[in-house]
Amino acid sequence: MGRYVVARLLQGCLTLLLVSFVVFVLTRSSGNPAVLNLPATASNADIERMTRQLGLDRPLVEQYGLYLAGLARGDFGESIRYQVPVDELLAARLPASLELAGIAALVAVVVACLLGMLVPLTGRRSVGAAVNAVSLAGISLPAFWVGLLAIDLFALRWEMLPVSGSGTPAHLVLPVLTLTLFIAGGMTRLLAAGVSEVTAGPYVRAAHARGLSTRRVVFGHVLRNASLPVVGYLGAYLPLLISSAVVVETVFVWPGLGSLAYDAVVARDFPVIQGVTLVGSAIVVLVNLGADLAIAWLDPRIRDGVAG
Amino acid sequence: MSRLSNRRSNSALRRSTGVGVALLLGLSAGCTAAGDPEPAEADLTVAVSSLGKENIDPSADTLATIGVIGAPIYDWLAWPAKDSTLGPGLATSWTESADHLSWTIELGAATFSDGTAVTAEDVKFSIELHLDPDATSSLSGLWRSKVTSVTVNSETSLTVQLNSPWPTFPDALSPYEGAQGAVVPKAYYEEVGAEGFRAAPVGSGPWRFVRHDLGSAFVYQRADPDSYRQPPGYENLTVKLVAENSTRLAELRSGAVQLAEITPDQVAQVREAGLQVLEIPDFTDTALTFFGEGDPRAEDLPTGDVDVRRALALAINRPELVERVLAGYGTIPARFIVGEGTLGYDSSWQPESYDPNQASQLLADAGYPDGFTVDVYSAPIAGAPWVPRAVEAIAGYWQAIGVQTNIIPTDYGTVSSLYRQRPLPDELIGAAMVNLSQVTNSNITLQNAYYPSSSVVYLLPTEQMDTLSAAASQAQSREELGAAITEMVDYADSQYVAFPLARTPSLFGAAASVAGWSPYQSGYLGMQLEELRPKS
Repeated sequence: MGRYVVARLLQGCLTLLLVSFVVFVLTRSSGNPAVLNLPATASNADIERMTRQLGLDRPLVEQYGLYLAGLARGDFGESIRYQVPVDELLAARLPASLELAGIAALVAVVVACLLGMLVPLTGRRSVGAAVNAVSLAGISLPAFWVGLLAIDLFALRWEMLPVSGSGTPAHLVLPVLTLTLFIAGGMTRLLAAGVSEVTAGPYVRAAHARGLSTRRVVFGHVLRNASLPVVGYLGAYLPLLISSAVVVETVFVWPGLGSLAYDAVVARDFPVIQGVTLVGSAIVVLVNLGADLAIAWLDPRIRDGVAG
Repeated sequence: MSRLSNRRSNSALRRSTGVGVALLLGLSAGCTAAGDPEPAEADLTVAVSSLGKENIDPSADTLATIGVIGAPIYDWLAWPAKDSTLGPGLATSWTESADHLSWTIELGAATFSDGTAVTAEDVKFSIELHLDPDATSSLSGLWRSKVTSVTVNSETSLTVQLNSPWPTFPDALSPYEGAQGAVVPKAYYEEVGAEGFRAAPVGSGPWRFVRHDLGSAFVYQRADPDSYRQPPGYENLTVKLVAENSTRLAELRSGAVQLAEITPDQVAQVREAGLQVLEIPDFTDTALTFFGEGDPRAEDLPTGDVDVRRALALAINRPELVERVLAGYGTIPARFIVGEGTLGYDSSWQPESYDPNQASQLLADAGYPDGFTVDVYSAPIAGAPWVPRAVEAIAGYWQAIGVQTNIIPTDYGTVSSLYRQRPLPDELIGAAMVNLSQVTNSNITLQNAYYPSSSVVYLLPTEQMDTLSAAASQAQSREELGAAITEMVDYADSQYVAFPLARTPSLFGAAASVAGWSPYQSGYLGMQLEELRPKS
């Protein structure tokens, strides 16, 4: 198992190196940030000076080499827009994003488990249709629109929650709700299908026949086996969750990496774009590793394969 | 599954669901209790679409940013009156030398919010910050090219030496022209350094700085200054960044903010909600700009012909555009970005009429009776979501005279970094875009950024434009400068490289509890905030 984890971590490092190169090249093909970060009345000499200061007049390979050398020292560079070290920005914003995405993922798992079990265990078509409709809506509705609708209903009409911002649990509810709807939709459908398949399995009937309580059957056998694809889904859906968080954080003025990334892209703030992308990619790599390990833990067949 | 196990499952499920619902309800109830407290009457929170680079140091950010986040805490040497004429600020007088190569400034009594007096040394230091080659403030390049030295004569007097006459130098000391007139305390700045000053700036304005949450907000407190400006009507001021238009409006409707930047299409919703609409008049010009004039690559292209550009301009029904796209919130300017308070403004200037027949005739005369296809870049701009709709409307007007529009959707950062490249990239030659520019009462802005080849956004790098611009730069008196600017603006207007579509106010939704303001025409938001008061 240890060798497997080390191998996956090394693979993750290679992935991050590739991501850093692709993002580095793409950002630099999108324009010179000096012209966007100087006033319109700046002279061409001003632009040339700032371009030199940013090191953008050097060959691309040299720029990338310097960037990697900085990364090796833990130096992500300095934000062109805010003129502060990128690692400070990331440190200030990352906790808020992790809080939002983490709670949203957790709530989504709870909701998906409840809804996913509701359909096969009740066996009612009407319940199945309702859950199907809700989960389809979660997948199909744009997070941007859901966010604005949630603001209109919960903050303006019913005055239950603040429109936007951060700092109290109340501020978390609407962005979490918006992200949860998005993640839980797909997860519910997978779990419902999984539960249907598992409950029809012979070992579940055998468990009932042995006189095990329904709770032990549901939580010990059905849910454990039905959750395998869901864990995989979480890992695969994380990049989408991160990209949705950009929209959700902007709509709810949530001070996370998403809104930072949006501002950085608009201002062509290369170091911040690179920093946010790298951190986001590292999270995806780590969560996918975690998901694979969780699947291995849940499924002895895979666990044995990994250990072997 | 058997009926029995089904019942058992249902029972377990009901219990689990019940626990889950109870948890969610508990969370929701706890959250509601912990929600935003109602803002106190002494608090004014303002939601804006951009905070620029969020650098409150006057020498390090654009005037558009300093005019919003810096104006509450800094005083300027000169301060405009409501009719756009220049009045005293920290300076009580300014005198030009006989040889036109220096200006002497006399200061009145004022104190910074840390209790120290504003002196001539502070003013010299503040100006010299902009003379540093690394200063990135608006017009710092111009100041570097004009100012040779600053000499302190006494505690309250200093002289600025120039290398060429600058008849409107006093105007340059006001917030209409730049941040160079904003004064910071030398001793404090030197003690804490540029980074320390940015983190905790000090000025002599009506508010004192409290806190900056990067990417979120600036917080201020009333300072009750002994200056020429009004004491603020609120004890606490927060200027917060809410980039999304709909969220800003929702914040206003919920009472979380008392003032929010809005777009013209949101005015009806603001009024329906029983809120007020406040305006800073004549703030922004939306214009159709063409790229490549003066470039040999554009000579054989349709839009390289001034008559074709005029035809395209005449085909646009601007009053209808204002009504449909800007919800009626706009006027038709006679000249691009020239404010009525600008030196050289000519009150006889009239906007061109909508005339599609003449447009068709001009196209036919120019050799395009069957029209052609033109590329138009369409990029939404912060605070101006109507731009893509304006592009679509223009495409419709041009189709009526046989011109097809190839709309290129893009983001503003991409296209603006393209049109600032020298030489212009091939794809921009002969193309157009709908762009926004702030209406200016600044002679300097007009003089130095009105499209000559020396400016960053040169739309008209022709020999004639450069000659006119140089003449304006060398003017020795206000009269000479005014005449030069009039001629320059008229020439630019005749070339149809930047055809003004509409002049819009800067719009704000305000809570019913806020008394209105008497705005500075084309002034920055930060200049207005001390005027706002709770309704009595």
